[in-house]
Amino acid sequence: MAFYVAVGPRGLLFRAGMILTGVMGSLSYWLASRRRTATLLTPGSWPAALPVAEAPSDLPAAPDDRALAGPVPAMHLDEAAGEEFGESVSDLSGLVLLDPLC
Amino acid sequence: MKITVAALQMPSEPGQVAANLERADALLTKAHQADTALAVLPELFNTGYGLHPDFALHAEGIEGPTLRHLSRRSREWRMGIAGGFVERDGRHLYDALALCLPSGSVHVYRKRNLVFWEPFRFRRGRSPLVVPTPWGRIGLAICADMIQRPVWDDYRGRIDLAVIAAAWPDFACRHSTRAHWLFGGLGPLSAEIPAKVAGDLDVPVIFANQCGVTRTTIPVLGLGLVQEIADRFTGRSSICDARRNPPVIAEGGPRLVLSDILISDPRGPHSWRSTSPSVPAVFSSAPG
Repeated sequence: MAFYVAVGPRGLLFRAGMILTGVMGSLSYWLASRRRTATLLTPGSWPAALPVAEAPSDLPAAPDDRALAGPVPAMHLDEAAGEEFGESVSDLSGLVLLDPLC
Repeated sequence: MKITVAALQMPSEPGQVAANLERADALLTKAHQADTALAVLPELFNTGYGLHPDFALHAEGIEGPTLRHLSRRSREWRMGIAGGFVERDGRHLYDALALCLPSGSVHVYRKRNLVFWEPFRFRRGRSPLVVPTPWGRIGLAICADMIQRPVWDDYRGRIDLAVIAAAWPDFACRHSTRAHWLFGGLGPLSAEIPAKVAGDLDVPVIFANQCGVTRTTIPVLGLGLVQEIADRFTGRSSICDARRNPPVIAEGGPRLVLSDILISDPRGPHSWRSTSPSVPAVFSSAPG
């Protein structure tokens, strides 16, 4: 199989590594899957209910309400097209990033 | 046909399904408020992407909490939602991508090109998946799938829109910023490949990637001998419309990427036919 993009002169090593880990991984996976019960956990048996909040029922849906979607668009790479095609990248930095693992 | 689509870029905490689903729901709500027709979440957004001891704890089928919730949101908001999850089918686990449609149908694609530690935890998917939707035929791919030429050869001329969910790392130490000696060149490809696919296949591409820190595990001779990188996901989620230039690309950090795209001559569900016996719906169901 060929790569869709050039991955440089180390592509052959990359390919060989993928084949090797593919073979060893498949063996490891097969052994693990034999030990696994074929019974799928039913949703009711999940350890905890998912506390997903209901969305407000009065959410605006009209295109004119796009301004309510969040911060002012931060990126307009194509100003001319931007009039015809609304495009934005909203900064949601309020969301919590994971702490570094090390 | 012009529609608004969204790529939802978010970090996921390993194993914290409920918290991750809540985080995704906040982004989905914003996408809905922006009148989005189709929103895409990253690969394994609910479980987090990384070498878990056992993904079976968080694997689920069509009736699992993640897909139930996404499907309910899809029907409620009349918005297509795609998101990566761990699918369980009998004894087997798959790195999968579900596409929930407003009609209630759920289509599941299984990642075909597993890399690094993934073959140790997941079974390889066998088939490409083309889903007929009101917005045209959508082809699905997951992360490392997009680096393989056969994946796009399968979809060439058969889809109107490509959706890619990813957890693509930088392959560079986040402390020293030094790139990995072998895989360091792969990180920047996360921004390049979607644009290349859009131009090559002449279809819009929605690419949703994770962001935040991760630990990239590279098996050397099996999981007993590994190399780990204190890494981060590249982010750089994008929406590339082949008829427009340049694409909309996010930087790092949580982002909602919105863009209008043009889909020419969408065939829709009524005129769609499977283009090949090898392009079946892996799973499709319409709950009542």
